[in-house]
Amino acid sequence: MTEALASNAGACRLFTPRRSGHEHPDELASRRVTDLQTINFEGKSIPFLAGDTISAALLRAGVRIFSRSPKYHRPRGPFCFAGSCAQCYVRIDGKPSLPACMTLCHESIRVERQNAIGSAGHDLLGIIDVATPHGLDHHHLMTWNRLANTTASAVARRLAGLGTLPDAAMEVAAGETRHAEVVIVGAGEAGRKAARDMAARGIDPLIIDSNDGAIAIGLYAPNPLQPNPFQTNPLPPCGGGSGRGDRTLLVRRHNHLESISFENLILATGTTSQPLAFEDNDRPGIYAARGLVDLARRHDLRLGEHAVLIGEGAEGPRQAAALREVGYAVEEVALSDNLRAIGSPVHALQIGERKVDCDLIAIAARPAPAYELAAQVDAEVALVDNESVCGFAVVVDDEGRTSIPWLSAVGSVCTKR
Amino acid sequence: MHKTLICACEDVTAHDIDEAVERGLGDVESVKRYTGLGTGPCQGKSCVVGLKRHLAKCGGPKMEQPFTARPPIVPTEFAVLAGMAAPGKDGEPDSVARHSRPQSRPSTCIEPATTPWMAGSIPGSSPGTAMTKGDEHLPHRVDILIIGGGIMGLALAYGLTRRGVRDVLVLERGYLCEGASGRNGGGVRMQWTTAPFIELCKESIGFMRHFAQELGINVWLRQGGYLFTARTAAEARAAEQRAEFQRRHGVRTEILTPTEARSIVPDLDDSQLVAAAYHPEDGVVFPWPFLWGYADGARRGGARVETFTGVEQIEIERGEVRGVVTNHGRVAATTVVIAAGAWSVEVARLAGVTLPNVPMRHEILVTEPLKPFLDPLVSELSSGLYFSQSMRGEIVGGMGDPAEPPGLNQTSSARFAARFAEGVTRLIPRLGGVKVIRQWAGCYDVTPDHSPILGETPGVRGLVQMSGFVGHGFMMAPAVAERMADWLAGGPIDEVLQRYALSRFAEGRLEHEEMIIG
Repeated sequence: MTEALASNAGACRLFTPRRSGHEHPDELASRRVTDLQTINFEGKSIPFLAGDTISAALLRAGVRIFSRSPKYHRPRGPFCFAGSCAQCYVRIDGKPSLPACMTLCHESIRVERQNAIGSAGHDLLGIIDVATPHGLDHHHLMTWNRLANTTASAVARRLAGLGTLPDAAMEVAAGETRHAEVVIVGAGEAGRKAARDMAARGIDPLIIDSNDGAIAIGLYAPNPLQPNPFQTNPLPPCGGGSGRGDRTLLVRRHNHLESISFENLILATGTTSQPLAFEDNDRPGIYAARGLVDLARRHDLRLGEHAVLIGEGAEGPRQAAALREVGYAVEEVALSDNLRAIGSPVHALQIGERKVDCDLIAIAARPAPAYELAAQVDAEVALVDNESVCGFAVVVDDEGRTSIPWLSAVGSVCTKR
Repeated sequence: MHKTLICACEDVTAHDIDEAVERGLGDVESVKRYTGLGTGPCQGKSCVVGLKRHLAKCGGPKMEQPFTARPPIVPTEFAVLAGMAAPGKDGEPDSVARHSRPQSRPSTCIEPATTPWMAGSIPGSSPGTAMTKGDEHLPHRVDILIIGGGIMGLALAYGLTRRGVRDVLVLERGYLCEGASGRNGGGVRMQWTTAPFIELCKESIGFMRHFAQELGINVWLRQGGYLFTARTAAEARAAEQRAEFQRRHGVRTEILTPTEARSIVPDLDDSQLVAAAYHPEDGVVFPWPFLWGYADGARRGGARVETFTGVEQIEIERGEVRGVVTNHGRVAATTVVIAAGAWSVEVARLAGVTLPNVPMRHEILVTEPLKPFLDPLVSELSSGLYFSQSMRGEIVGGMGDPAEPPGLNQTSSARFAARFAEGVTRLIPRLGGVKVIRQWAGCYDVTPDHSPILGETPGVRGLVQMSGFVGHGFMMAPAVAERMADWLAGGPIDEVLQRYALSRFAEGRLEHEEMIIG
């Protein structure tokens, strides 16, 4: 249990760049007094505290709706606070669709909401959602004659897209190449332990963690096992970043890329928060419980007093306790087929005939292993569905080795064969 | 209204998934493509598990594996990718010899006796997760058996049923859309350097205009034109000559100045070109619904389309086709059509036939969705770069690579991401801040003269070729399939089928097409 929780922190870090580490409450209190800076939110000045993400600043100012959804123009607000979902995307300094939860505020940063006619709060195109109670089947929309079909195409094209083009060109920052004998992705508890094990063996691993502003964005490798009957000369396939077929981990630091070649890679990416399926589960005011806890701890920010927590497995009671610890009054509810979120932002949860008023709904679904990097190189993954996690995990043997000779995994991202 | 969202990025509801399952989409990759789930900016991190849980709840296909994970793992700007330090990214990698396009089948090929070409055997391809099938689902005998459920095979099956030939079976080794028909950029154009291609594409685009009425599903044809840039005076002269040829064949290609090109492609850096060839009736489509539409149309007409059914043997007796053996049993047929795209060489080999085709990987990527700003597909023939804006607002683009070795390979490379990002930001610098959300790859099926192989196979009666389209089969499939269906339904053989017969290689009458992107 504790290991899963610790590895969660690893996932948080992997996808949470540009944040400082845990801060002492005294530090939070002291910066309150000294910082009176503002961001520009759709023409209005909104104050922020040093270390605030844009999500934190907007939520602190009472903003709950961050954008409109692509097809139905449903109101959306932040969910995961860890960069793994896309519900908090806003336009920042003239660049479209950036995660508000991953971007730190600075003086006069310009933030705008996207994909609305009027404002994101009162979007005229919200009518699409109302007019399509059973959804909108775009495959078979207005196929009956050429005129209707042409009209459907023209309208669909106008409505498509989330953001608009960037205001200006973005400067290309020269990347670099690095080599490391061992790379560890994720510095949660499992990643740190792996690093200690390496050190004990005299190996100095390269640790990639978003707390240091380093985000792993892709893992590339040629498939070494495939014979290629069409290949006439002894060249490896161009699978890697170097063009020579090397395996490569691409890591982003700020705006430049490092192409890292390595002998062995250890994944310690932990797990990611998941949503749960119930009616109107995408409404603003529904948040991943882990994200809420993080928001309270890192930003001293609570989004109300009364939280209804929809939980499952071991994650429900664990996150309920964490939320209480940071100051929420929590009512725990089990996931069932008769739940519906009420209001936008939500102010109640309907449970069958019963309505529970609340300031927000917290979701404590069993998290999912962050298996994606491993799957990019065809490492074996398998479904894991137990009390602690639900999702696809990287399959490892007793030594932590995956099906790929140079790839290992530790912590809650993996499962034993 | 009340909706239960499974994929918030693309507004895919539980109801949408139920409908996809009710329509018989029996594997996760197909459910993903049909609903759009997992194709948005989060790339599945918040919906793969939701899909699995919902499928389990509603009794849909059992999801034992996630759909393919593709890089990048977080949306990444072109400007960031363009700066990637990769030896050999610019031009020729020092350790990779330049490959010219293969002019003939490599002589040192390893000859696997029989390749069981099952889904998942190719790097970068995803096995998908089909519902388990027994061996009893295939018929024992059919009139016409088509190997390959891409657009060629499915359009042919549909065309045959419309001509009253209903005893048709299409075998697809994976899910529909798994091969190049599901991996291309959706470009459709009439700008070519050979008359038959112009004719086939004109006719096909005409058909695409009313595809939705005939087959009942939207394919989102948008005729925003194709704009080919010319970077040098020599390229401009070549473009002028091609345009003249095209005008003689009824395609009104215009030659534009850089300023005129910029008026059509906003923010184009006009210092990057000296001229452009532009034809406004070219355009882009959404490829996937063509396959579903044709497959449904063929099924309605009585044909059968079986997915996750791979051919392992082709039976030949005394120079005649007798049938095939699949992983789900044997099917007798006296006519077998090879429409397997980049896999055609392997399939033909099962019949002892050597095709001169060579598969070549081509990579492609897609960005975050943007409000509409770009009408034409823009392409630079000299570098093999192309990109357009899809109906969903994404930039979809690819680029050939002179260093690409031949082979069946559907993996993605960092090298491509960097080269493409550099190319697209060179042409339109303002796109630097646009983020790539997914990259993938498919295989061109390259012939020595860049023209297809159609019709009879010398020495093997009943074995029909329908391959070798070099990355542009999608845009001419409707017209090619019509001609093929006419002939297989007992009509006279079309001139196009004779012109592109396999025998032309032995006879030395090649049909060179020059305008190949990539």
